[in-house]
Amino acid sequence: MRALSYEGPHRLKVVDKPDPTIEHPGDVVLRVTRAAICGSDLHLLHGLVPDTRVGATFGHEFTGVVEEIGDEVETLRPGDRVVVPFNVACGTCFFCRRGLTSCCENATPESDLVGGAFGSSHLAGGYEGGQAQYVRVPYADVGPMKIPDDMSDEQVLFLSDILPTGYQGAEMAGIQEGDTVAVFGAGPVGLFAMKSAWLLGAGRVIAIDRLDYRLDFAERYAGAEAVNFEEVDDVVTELREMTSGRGPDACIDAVGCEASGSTMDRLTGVWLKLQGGAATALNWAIYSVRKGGSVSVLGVYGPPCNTVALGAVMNKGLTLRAGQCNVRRYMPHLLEHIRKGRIDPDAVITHRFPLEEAPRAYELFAKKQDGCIKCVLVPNDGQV
Amino acid sequence: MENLSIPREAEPPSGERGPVSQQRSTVRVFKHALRAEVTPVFGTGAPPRGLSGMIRHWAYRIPEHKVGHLMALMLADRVDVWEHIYLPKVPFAAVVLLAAGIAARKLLVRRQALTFAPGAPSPRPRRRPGTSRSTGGGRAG
Repeated sequence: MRALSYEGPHRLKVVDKPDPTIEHPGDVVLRVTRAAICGSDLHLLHGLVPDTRVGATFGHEFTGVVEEIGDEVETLRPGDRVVVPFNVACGTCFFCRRGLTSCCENATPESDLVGGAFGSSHLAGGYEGGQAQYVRVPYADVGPMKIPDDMSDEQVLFLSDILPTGYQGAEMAGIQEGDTVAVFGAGPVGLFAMKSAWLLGAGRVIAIDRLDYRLDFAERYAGAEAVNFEEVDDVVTELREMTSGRGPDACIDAVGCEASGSTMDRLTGVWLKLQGGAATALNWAIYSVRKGGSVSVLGVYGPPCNTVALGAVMNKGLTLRAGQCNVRRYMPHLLEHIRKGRIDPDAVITHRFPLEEAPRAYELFAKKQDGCIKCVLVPNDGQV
Repeated sequence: MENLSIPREAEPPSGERGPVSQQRSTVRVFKHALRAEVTPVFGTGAPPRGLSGMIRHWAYRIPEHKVGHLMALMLADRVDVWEHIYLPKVPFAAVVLLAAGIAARKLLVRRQALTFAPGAPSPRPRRRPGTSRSTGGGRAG
C-alpha cells in the first residue's frame, strides 16, 4: 500500500509499505476514505514529541470502510463505513469504564502518561496512522462508530478528533449561562470550541489569533468577536478592556506548544527545545481570565515541562482543566448536533489532496498558505 | 425546548467483555519502567532498530517521570534520523565524490600532457625575478 512516512523533522515522503494485517482478534483493517491533517501532526513532524520514529505513518483523524475483521469482532462487518476516534481504548479498564478513553491503560505499553492514539509517537502505543491506503484498527468493537447512511464521510470525519476536542474544551471551561469565553487560536479546534461554547450557553465568544483570514472565518463561522494579537499593544490588556476590566469568565487554549507571540518562548520551547513547547497562549489565558475563572487547555504540549504562570493560577483562584479528548463518549451526541444542522463540520475543509500530495498538503497547512484552515487527504480515490 | 447543554454524555457499555487476549508480535515492543508486562494490544509500526533502537532500549529502563527518560528518547530520535536517513546516502555521496576526483585528476594530467607536448605553445612563462630561464619546465615526451 501507499502510506505517508516520517523521514525526520520537517521531512515526509509517500512510500510503499506492507499492507496492515489482523494482529489481534479484536482488530479490523480499514480502507481509508478520508484522512485529515491535524495540528498535532505538525508537532510530530517538527520533532517536538519524543519517540517519533523514522518510518512512522501519521494520521489520527480518518474514516474508512471495513475490509477485514478479526475473529472476536462482533459489531462490525466488511463493508461497514466507520469513523474512528483517535484514541485507542479497550473499553473495559478502570479508565474506560469511567468514560476516560484517553487514559486507557491497555493500549500504551511504553507510557503511563498518555493513552493510545493512532499515528502518533510510540509513547502513545506505536499505532500506525490513517494517512495511508489501509490502517489497522485495534479494539474495533469499542472505538469505531458506523456512519449513518444519510451522512457523508466528510460530514462525520471530524468526530474522530477536533470536533469532540473543541466540545470537551468548552465543557472543561465550565461555561455558565451568559459567560464571556475567550478562545486562543482560531484554527479548526478553536473554531469548534467556539461553536461548542455557544451550545453550552456562552453569551459572548472572543477569538484571538494573529492571522486575519482565520479571524474573519471565526467571525463568519462561529459568530466570534476577533482580536488580532499582533495588532494590539497587549492582548491581556485588550481582553480586560473588552470585559469591563475584569477579564473573560473562561479562557480556552486551543493553540498548544507552537504558539507565536513571545520570542523567548519560541526560542526556548520551539527552536532550542529546552521546554515542552511555547506556552505563550496558556500564559495569556491565565493572565487575562477573571479571578475565580476557568482555563481549559486543549492545546498539546510536549514533555517534560513548561514555564507556566502557576503562581497566577493559585493566587487568582483559577480552575485549570486539561486533557486529551475522550472522543468516544461525545460521538453520539455530536452526531445529533451535526444531523440537526447546529454544527457544520465539513465547512472548515478548505483543501483536499490525494495521498501522493500529502507532503505538499502538510506544507500548506503548516505555513498557513492559501487561506488554509483544514486539509483532508483522499487516499484511495486518487481524485478529490 | 430541547436542552442543548448536555455535558458528560457517556454511551452505555455495550456489554461486559472478558479479559482481552494477549497480542503476539515478532517485533520488539518496549514497556515503561513501572509496567510488569506489555499491554494486551499494542502498535507494531516502526519497530526499534540500530543504534537508535539500543538507545531507546536504555531509555525505557528509566522511569518516565525522570527527565533522563525523555532526553534519551529525543537523542534516539536524532540518531534515528542520522543512521536511517543521512548515513545511507553517505556511500553514494562518497562514490560520486571519488569518481569526480578521479575524473578531475585524469583531466588535469591530460591537460598538462597536452600543454607541455613538443611544439605546443608554452603556458604562462613563470620567471623568477632576475633570471631569464623559464622555470615551468614540463617533461616533454
